[in-house]
Amino acid sequence: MNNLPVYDTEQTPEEIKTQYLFESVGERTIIKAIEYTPIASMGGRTVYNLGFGDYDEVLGTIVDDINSNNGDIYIVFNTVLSTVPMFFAINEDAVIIVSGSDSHDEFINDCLPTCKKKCVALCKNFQRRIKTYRYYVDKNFEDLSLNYIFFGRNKSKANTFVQYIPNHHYDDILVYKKK
Amino acid sequence: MKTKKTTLKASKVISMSAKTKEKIANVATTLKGKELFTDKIELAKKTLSELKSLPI
Repeated sequence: MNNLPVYDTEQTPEEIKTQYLFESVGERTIIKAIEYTPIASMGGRTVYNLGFGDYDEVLGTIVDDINSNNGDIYIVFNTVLSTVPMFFAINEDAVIIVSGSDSHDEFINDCLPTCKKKCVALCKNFQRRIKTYRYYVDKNFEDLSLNYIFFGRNKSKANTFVQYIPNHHYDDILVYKKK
Repeated sequence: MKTKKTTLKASKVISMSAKTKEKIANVATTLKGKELFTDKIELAKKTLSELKSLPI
């Protein structure tokens, strides 16, 4: 999707959801998971949630509410994005909903006790993930629009998705593949 | 566990070692059948439930 490298991914043989695993190699090595989970069927289309997080060896599960700060954020993010065309290749009529695990109302209270950013007025980690996705879409909107259609929802304005306009604030993004 | 190899059309791919592939296969086995991202999925479901329909 751009000139940055991506980590090699392995698609795991899940029946309903589509899952990709890869290893982030930075200060530590961390197994990361990208998962497209079907969450709703609307208007003849299945909407998939895009989930992304780190494998926790102790818990044996994925955690999506921490920042691993492994020094390879751009490669990791590019790897997540690289799975979008792979996902649509096998789910052409799907719709992906993208939102951030750090966008919910309780996030700031959860972040404060362990945060090292010394935020004063605003929590710098709040909505960090969706901002990263928006930044990428905004920066590459023209190219991406050749193959994808984007809609955004700003929950403070209305509970509906509208045509995505670059550099506007959105809490959630819907992605369609053009045919 | 066998995993399906994925390919990319663009970008340089940082390949993974055989040891990493084995580690990932083990993680895949551990994760198989587990519900992940439950909080985020609930939020996304709530968002969608507030919609009358999808935009297209």
